Amino acid sequence: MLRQVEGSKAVADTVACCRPEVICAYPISPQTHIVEGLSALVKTGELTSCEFVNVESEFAAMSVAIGASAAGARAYTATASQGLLYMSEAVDNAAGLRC
Amino acid sequence: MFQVRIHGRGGQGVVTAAELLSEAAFAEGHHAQAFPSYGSERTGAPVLAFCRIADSAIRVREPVMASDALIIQDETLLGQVDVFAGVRGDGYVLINSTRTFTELGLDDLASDRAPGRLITVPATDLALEHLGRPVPNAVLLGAFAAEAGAITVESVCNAIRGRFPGKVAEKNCVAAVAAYSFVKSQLKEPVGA
Repeated sequence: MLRQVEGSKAVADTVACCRPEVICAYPISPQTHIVEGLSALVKTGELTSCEFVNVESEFAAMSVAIGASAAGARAYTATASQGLLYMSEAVDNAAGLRC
Repeated sequence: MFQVRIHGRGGQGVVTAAELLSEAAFAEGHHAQAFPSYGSERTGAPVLAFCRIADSAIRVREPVMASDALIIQDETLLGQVDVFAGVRGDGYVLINSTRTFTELGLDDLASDRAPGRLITVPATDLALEHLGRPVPNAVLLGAFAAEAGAITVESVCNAIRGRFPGKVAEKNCVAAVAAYSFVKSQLKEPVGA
């Protein structure tokens, strides 16, 4: 059956299918509905074995994702607009730490 | 493709209105998209939302510039924002207001448009009467179903029920149907009466 969903919800559902183990986000504007959808999936138990971390900034969000990744966990975060700008230093770091 | 632009203010449910409209159209078997455009999130700030309805996949992701229909949720925008920009000559215009075209300064626009293509509906009053809150979005969708006929009022109500919990949904549905009947009865009146 066809179903109409908001783009951000579709992203959240798709990310959930990838079985992330850590999701971190700074939950105010300019955040999107992506992590809101994911937090609901974690809260209701539909997304199991996943820790949802509320951090204090976008910079911290990506830093937690990097740390979780370094420890071997599959990590996810999302942001938008000036949140991405604030995250930018850690974004480069995340890309550089790939191996 | 049928393109709708909704003007309103933060807190009036402009974004939700566009989404409900697209959900109603989607449920009727059409392709549909809806998305908003606004600056800082602030109650009372001018907000725009768009809805496209088509019978084939909608590839375009741009704001609606040339619109087939306009829904104006707040009459105080008329002097502040160029709400009529790009609306087609035979497009539908729906304004939430209790005032006449003359009082709104829309005599020129009214004389240019075919009967039934420019309508006012007291959506805030209907919302207060049926919901107890001045949120005119669902009410205007009921009126829009009557004016433009792009979607049925039943689909609007189903979309409302899919979005809001029981009592809130039912009150909004009653208000939407009331607005639908209001516009239908207005359209039946002979021209010039």
